[in-house]
Amino acid sequence: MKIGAYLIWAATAIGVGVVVLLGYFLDSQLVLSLRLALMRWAVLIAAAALLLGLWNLLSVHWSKVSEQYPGWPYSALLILAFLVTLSLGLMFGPDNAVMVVIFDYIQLPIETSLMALLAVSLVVAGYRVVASRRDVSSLVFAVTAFLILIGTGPWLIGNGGSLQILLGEIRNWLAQVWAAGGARGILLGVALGSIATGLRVLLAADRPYGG
Amino acid sequence: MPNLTTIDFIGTIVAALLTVMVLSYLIGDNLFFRLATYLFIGVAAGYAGAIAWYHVLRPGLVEPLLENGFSTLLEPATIVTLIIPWVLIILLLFRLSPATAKVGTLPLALLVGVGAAVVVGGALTGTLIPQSFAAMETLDPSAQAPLTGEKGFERLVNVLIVLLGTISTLLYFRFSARRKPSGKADRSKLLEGIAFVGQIFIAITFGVMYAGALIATLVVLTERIQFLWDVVSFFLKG
Amino acid sequence: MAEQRCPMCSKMNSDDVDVCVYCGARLTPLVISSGAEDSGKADDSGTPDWLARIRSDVEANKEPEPEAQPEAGDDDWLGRLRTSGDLPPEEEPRADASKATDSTAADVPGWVDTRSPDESVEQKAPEWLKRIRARERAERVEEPQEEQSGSGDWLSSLREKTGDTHEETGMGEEPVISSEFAPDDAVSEGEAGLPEIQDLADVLPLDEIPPPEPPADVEPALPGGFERIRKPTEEPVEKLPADNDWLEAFKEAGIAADDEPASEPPVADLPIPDIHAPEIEDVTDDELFAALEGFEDFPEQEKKEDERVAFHELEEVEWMGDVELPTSDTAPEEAYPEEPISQHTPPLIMDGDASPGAADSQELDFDAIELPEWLGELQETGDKISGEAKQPDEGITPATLPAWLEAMRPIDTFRSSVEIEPVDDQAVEAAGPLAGLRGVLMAEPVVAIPHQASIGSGRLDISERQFAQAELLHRMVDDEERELPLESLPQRRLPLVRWVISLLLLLAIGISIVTGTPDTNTFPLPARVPRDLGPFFTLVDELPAERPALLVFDFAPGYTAEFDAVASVVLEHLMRRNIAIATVSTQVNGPLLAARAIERSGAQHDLVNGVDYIHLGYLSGGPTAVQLFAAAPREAILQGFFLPDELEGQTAWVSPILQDVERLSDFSMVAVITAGTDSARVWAEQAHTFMGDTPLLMILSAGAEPLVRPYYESLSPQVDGILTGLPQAVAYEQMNGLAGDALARWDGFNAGMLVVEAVLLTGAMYGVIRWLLKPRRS
Repeated sequence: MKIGAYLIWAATAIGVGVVVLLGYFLDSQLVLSLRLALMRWAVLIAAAALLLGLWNLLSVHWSKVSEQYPGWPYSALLILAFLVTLSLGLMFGPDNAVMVVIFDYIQLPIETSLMALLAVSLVVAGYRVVASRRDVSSLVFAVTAFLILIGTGPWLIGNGGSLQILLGEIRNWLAQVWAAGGARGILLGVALGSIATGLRVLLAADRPYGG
Repeated sequence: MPNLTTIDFIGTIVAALLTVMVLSYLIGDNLFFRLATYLFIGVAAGYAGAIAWYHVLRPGLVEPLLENGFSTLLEPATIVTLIIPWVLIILLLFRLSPATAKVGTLPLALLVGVGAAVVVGGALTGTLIPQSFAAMETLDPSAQAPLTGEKGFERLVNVLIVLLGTISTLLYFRFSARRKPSGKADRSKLLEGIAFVGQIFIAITFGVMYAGALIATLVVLTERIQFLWDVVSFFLKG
Repeated sequence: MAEQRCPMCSKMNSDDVDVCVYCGARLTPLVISSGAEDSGKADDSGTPDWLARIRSDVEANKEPEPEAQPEAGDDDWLGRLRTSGDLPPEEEPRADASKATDSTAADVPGWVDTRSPDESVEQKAPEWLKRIRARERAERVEEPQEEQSGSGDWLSSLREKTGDTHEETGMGEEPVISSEFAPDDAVSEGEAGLPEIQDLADVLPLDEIPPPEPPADVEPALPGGFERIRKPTEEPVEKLPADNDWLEAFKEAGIAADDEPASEPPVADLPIPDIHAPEIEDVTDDELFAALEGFEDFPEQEKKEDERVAFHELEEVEWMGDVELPTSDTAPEEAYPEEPISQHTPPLIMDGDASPGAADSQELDFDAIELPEWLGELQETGDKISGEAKQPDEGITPATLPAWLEAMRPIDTFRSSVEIEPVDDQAVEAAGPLAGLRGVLMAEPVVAIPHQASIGSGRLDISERQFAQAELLHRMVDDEERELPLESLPQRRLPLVRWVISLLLLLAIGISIVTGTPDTNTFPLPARVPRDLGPFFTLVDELPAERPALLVFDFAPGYTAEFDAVASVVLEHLMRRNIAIATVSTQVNGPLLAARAIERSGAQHDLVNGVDYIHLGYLSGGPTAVQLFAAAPREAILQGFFLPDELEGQTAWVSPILQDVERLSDFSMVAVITAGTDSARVWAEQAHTFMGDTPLLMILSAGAEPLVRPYYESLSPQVDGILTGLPQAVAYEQMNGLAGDALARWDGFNAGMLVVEAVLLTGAMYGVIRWLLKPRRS
């Protein structure tokens, strides 16, 4: 039974994957229709999987509260906020004014503030890089970042001068040419890796769905 | 600050408090910061569940069933658009229990298969081929960049730099090497040199990305401080 | 007084007795003639030197006699011989050393004494033999006539007398030589009491007995009497009455005087090799094993006079014809005493074996006879025997067992000699399951007390590698048990760097915001237009107004502050051109962000929902949803977000904005507002094939530009325009001539930038100074 079930799962993944992949290269109406149907199913399953993930989040924190693990009051606050927001969203809809208020005055300021903390963290990290590390890559990294900042930032003195213009051009040249070359290589590498990983799944060499 | 209704007024104060609670992390980890983060996770998760139901599952599974009724269940179109997704989602619900998790493997297999195919197709047709062609830009000095307007020697140099960066970066990530009789596996000298050049290009790219992230977050920090100042000034002005 | 050990019962007897006082076995072996061909031959020279030498050695090692016991049983076999008839002719005599030694001088069959009527032979017989013959003659006269009449077969007469009773003969006890046993030939009447052996071919006086021949694999021809002995019949053997007369004669002769019953029987003249001697080369292992199999019962230690084992009860084993089997009364320790082989084991009686007795033959030249090895060792080991039954006159040393047989002996288990007290004298067992019983075997010290086995070694033979591994394991175990010192808690370092940087940033930004004015900027605005801004601006400025523009809000709420400044300029531009805007998002919070952005930017333009803008909502599924939306937008979006009241309960596609939109290319432009490179890449990969002529624009965060730029920098670009970061947004606002959120954040941003630049510069200088100072310190 175990062997048979594995074959079914693998055959399903391979079958639907081949049909969807063929739609990138074939202009057949049948393939396109089948492809659309499969993708529609996948969209619905993804939304259901999102709900299952939220259920798992709830159960984890619920167990923390029930077992009174260290930090369980925070989990209790999380559960309370989750249930209230979900209830209001299911009751009034996500585009309701209540949800907008909750979003505007609770989620948005917290998330924005967390992003603001990132600015300080990045500056501290940059300081440590330039103060401690002395390898070539770190030197190039630090110099590039500094040039970009210098080229982007203001000039209290000599604003609009030739030096600022020169540094601006250097900044553009670094960001638009040198960085673009490296970025293209990275993108190609990412694409190759994505293709290899996807083909392994389509050939059932990897079975992340289990079985 | 414009006229604020009561809700807005209270909300603004709450937002300011939450902002301060989060920014207190600059001093050190504390109770307020944790409260604010846990509150944020709960609210975000609740909203995500609400929008997933309201904008995907309900219009895709429930409303067609309520509108068309059960009489059309046996129609091929209904089977394809309604019955099969219902069955798949019900099977997916079995993954809640470890004992019945095996039953929910079919919808996961479908989801993974479709996702893998989309990723492969997109990477192949959207990145690998176009970027490969883009890297093979002509070295004709008379050619001109359509968007940036570069031409002549400037363009030629830029093209060569981009080409060098592309090749060296790709070769940097190739870690295959032949094992020598001594047991040590090293790349050839030529490959090591090119990989070093690629490493430089990667460092430049990451430097640019770091500077850009810093700029973005500075803007956010500025906005937060400005928000707090607005609230303070509002209360100071009365 | 010297002692000798009885070969049958392993009890100590005095040296001057010929018969064991306990079991009646002969202590000194008798010499048996080797065969018919040897009959008639006599040793002209008298006792050969080697025989004399053996005898003299035996005499020299005589031990004092043990406490004598009644001789009641000593002469029993002799008595039986006297009272019995002729021996059966077909029986082969057993050449068993123990049995031979058990037999006293009186047990010597008559034929031995009376074989040679020749007067000269008679005169040449040794004194002791003469006495035996004389005595037997005297006893025979007293025998009933019917016993000596008839066929004259003394063995057969013995057998008739004993009947069916089984009597034990074994090691340490006198053998039961049935009176019915008799050689085939009539035994001539010799000395009193013993039937005469008529077959002179095998019956010779002792002095006429030819030298023994090496034992053959099969039983050699034996005198008739010994044939009978070897193959006992079914007829029981009758006990012989005790008779000490012959012993008295021996005592007087001074050969093997046994004043006490428990005296050591003299060594018989019979060729009796030691059963345990390792020199018995002629005895095969199979024969010996076969013989040992017949040892069913070991005779008990306690002497039982009436218990005999008839010869006919013994198993017929060819080679064991020369071996005397132990009786059931014989204890194992008696049968196989603990002493060395040569000390206790009675010699075997083997036909044809080299025998000192054969030296009496006058016809053989014993000087030319080559002694077997075992016989030579007998001479050597004879000196070591303590209490072994030896014949002082004959000097026959007991044979030794082969090494393999000796190894089989349970040396550690059995004691050399166990003396069993009478029942009444035995202690009553007080403990254990046998409490209250008498005669309980005592726990041997060897058994009761744990001791290390002598056989085998408990020392392990390990290699160096194994030793090293054992040491390693031992060290690992010790490390587990060792208490580690308590590690001090790591001291929390104050985040001074973070505090300083945070303070600097907050102060710089705060001061710039506080001191700044809405209309003016402290920091100068960008002087030059970025190279990428021009195409982007132009493209937006040239969009067809009748077709809606699609804005994809794919950024996290955390980037709202940046995109409020960057995306708002594009929205402002679109709104000013009265281009309808449709929003969609693949992020959960995207629709809310889109609604917020539209509301903020459209506040000044009086935009109407559903007319000027429409929100399509949320796309679930990541790249799959983008591919589905790109291929079939109407099938991907089934509802809307923040729909106007007139569209309540309907989809957003029914709005006037989207009524003509069937495909992605029906939009005037698609602008992806994102802070992540993945989202931008997904849209660039999945949507570019469905775009047609519709431009794909990217409104990016400053950090996402490098990885999106390759899609832009191409002859066939997939991205048609890029707008990155606050500086370009400010420049865009300048080009647009409108002040927006970008300019509002410019001063604070620049202040922060200055602080960042200063911090990085300070860090670099600090690093350089540390690097310069480090070599000097070292």
